[in-house]
Amino acid sequence: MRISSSQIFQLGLTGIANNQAKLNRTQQEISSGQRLLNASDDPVGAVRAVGIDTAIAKAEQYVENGNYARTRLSNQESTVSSVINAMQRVNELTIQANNASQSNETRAAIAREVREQFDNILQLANTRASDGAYLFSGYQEQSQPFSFSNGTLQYHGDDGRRELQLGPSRSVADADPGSRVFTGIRTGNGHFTTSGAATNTGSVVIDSGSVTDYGVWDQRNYTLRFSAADSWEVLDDTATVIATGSYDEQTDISFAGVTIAVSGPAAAGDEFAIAPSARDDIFSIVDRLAQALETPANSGAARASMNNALNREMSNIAQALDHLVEIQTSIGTRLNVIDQEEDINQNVKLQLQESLSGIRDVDVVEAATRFNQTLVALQASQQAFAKVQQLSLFNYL
Amino acid sequence: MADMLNSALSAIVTYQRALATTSHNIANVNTEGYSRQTVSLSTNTPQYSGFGAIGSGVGVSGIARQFDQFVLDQMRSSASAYNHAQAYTDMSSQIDNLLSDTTNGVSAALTSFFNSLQQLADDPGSLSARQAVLAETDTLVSRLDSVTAQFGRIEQELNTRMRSSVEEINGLTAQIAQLNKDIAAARISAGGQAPNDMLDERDKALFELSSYLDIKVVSQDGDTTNVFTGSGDALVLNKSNFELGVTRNEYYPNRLDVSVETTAGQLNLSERISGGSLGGALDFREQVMDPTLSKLGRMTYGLATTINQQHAGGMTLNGSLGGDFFRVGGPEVVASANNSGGALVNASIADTAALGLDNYRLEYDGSNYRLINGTTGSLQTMTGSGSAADPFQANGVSIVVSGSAAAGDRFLIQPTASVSGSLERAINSAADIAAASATRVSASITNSGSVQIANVQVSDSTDPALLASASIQFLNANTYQINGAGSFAYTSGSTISINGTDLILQGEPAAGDSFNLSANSGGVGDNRNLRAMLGIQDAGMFNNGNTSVMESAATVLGDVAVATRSSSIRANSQLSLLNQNVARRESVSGVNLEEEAANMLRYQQAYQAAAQAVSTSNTIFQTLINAFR
Repeated sequence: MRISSSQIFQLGLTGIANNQAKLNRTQQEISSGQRLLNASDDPVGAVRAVGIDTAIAKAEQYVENGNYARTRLSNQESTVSSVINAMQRVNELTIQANNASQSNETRAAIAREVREQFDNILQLANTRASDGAYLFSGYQEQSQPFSFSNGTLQYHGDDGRRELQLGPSRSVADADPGSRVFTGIRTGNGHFTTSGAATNTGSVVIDSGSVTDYGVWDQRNYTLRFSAADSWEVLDDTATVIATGSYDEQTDISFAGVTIAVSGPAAAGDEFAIAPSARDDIFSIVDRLAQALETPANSGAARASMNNALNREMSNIAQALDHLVEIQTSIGTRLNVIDQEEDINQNVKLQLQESLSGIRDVDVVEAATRFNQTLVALQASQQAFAKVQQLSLFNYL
Repeated sequence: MADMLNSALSAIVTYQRALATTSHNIANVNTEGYSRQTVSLSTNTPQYSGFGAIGSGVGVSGIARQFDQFVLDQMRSSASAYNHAQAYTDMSSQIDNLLSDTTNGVSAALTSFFNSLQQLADDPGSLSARQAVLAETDTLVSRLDSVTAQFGRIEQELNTRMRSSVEEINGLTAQIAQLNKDIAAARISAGGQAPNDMLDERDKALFELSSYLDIKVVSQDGDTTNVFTGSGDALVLNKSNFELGVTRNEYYPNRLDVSVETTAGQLNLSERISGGSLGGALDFREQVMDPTLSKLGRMTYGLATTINQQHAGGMTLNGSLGGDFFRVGGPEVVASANNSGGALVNASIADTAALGLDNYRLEYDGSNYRLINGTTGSLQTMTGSGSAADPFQANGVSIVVSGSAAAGDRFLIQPTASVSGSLERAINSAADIAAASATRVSASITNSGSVQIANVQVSDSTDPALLASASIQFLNANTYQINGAGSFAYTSGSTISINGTDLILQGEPAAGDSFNLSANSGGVGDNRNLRAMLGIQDAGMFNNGNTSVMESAATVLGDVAVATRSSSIRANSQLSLLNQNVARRESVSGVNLEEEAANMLRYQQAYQAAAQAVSTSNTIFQTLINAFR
């Protein structure tokens, strides 16, 4: 084929320009570390990379959410376990006070310590996090959740539980509201409560009883009445006698699916109420306990009434401890979930970063080799250009 | 001897001509569009005598330019295709560059925006986290704004390009028309010989013209070349050219169209030019710019309206309802500049999920309105009557017409094309972010039943009594009252709606249990509304709920990237085709200096020989004269 002089020049020049463009591109890839400099270099890869970028950012955010939740939950957990310790101490004190060897004075001393524990628990319930937010007030972080006066608890928070996202479809509550932790405790043995009337003159001590037949127990109010010192009857809430028996300290009284142990001498007309469990709060339980301990018991009937009150509050305390342990367990479970989810998110992030690197990052070894090859080609094309330009027949004329 | 001298003289003159042509070739070795010329030689008419014909030397029979018409045609068509792809790529890659940025692109801004909400959900009371949300919102708004502004700049660039292209085209067509005239005149004065250099010049002008737009070249009786656009509109006919003009678009004062003046009035050529850099720019406008703006706008609209809707049902740090988070524009309706009636058309978006990316034309034919898809040109089905009470509905857009239109009036309806630049942050301060739900429900702490709150959410943020307090008291395990009145049957797990709040209770209530519904004032730690806003990130929103906001942003990038890549591949392949054709032309028409050097030697030698013949003839004559002395 015939080639024109200007084409020889043009071809040489184009060769050099092409090699320069390639060299420039490779240099950019190496210096940025990226194979995809523009989305148009690999549209499908670019769209995937955008999705992966978003997924990585999310995974990182999930881990961060978990850290937030972990801090708050740990804070709550340690507070709840302090409350458990305090309640256990109260329980020990009650057992100690429930001993016949105690006098009014020693009981008053025990009552003072119970009061101290009460203050301790109230303080724990009003704990603030480092940022000043109350731990147990639900959504209303800025208002102090609990105040207690004249035997009545006031809760100023709400039932809000903040859920933090740990994964695409997994979230945990980062705290439990005070209403859930400190209130809502079932009274008595969890099914019913027993209490003696204030007018009782005998010295019968009643325990908290137990449900022996859940099929029969119908959660109604019953009254156990001593018609005489040696015989009892049980009335239901319509004042109908449903059971009678002769009183014997060694024998438990059973009716309507429940069994109650009673002891001590009875007086005719003594009455005990058996009522379905209600819900109570920790503060009221401890407060009532302290009151019972502070009340001097000088007669046999007063001592029996005190014993009954202590028995009742002890079973309440047992319920409260169960409740608190349950809360503690649920916090522990959630902390585990956070750890698991963190592992998952870190793994996901690692995998995503690998695929992203596969799409976007340059293979440095390959790029360096390509750079050298292009460099050699560029030098060759420059030399060839210079040589060819020297050739001309006119040189020989 | 006289014969000898005459023959030698004819050779001298002829080879002078040949050397002049060679020298002309050498001189034009670098002239663009130049075709090498060759001299064809022939013997002069001999003298006839009794014993035969005596040769009487050599003459130039013609000077021809070497060219191949087919190759020239190919060159023009590949130049059109190459310049089309190149102009398209140039503009498209500007958008590609802007969107590709992995840290500053629209997708990255969206991800950061949602992440800042997620961060705030960890600690909704934190003012610094709230400030971060405002900052990320502003980044998102400014990213969308700068992409939209870039499109605006490209539109300006396109207009400038169009004006200068039209000027160049007019210059070239005028030149071609003038050359048609000159060539005809020159041929007559040269006694039918081709004016080679002028023909080269015309071919060069045609080649240049083909880089602006696709042309058809029709040769007429050898001398005259008629030029038409690819779709058949005349640019040059014989000795006159038709000037192209630039006119304002029927709908947009900012958009220009190419037009040509015909006997039937102005004809808009924008749709009819398909090649060259002008065609490439016009195709970019139609195929990349308009759909990308629509898609970006649709994403913006969907994001802003759903976030707003959710935000309105939340409560700010100050205890008031959230209101709008973003301000965003809606569909744009532009009346044609040619309309004569007084009708006003308003469009709004009725259903984001059904919304497409096309623009529409609403046309009035004197009795009925028709809606035409601006991209496909197909007729769209509309329901409704166009009144405010019963608007036209089509593809998620609702159209209200008021006033009376004249037959032939047209309106352009762009559902989302102008939305992306209209986004603004509506909330003013960090405290205005409605992280909390508007209402909350609390159980009384003395409740003895096992009933618990399973879920509380605002179902109607516009309910006037939304923030009013209400109480639910259980009369027994199966019946409850609201605010001490009525008697409603309770089923565990079923929804109870009060004052725009939906509440679900689960478990068994005891008589006397109560729940209080109230405004969530002081609910600093509540993140429920944020969590609902976060759900918007991946919720199906467009294409009947199949495409989320994030996916939509990614496809904007993907579409532009595909368009850029395919046009750049096309540009590369067209460039190599063009180079091939240029090589073929060069091979036929280009000047080769070695060849010219060889020819020069050849003609020089012939010239020297002829001169020698003159000298010899002189010697012979001297010899003869001396014999008679």
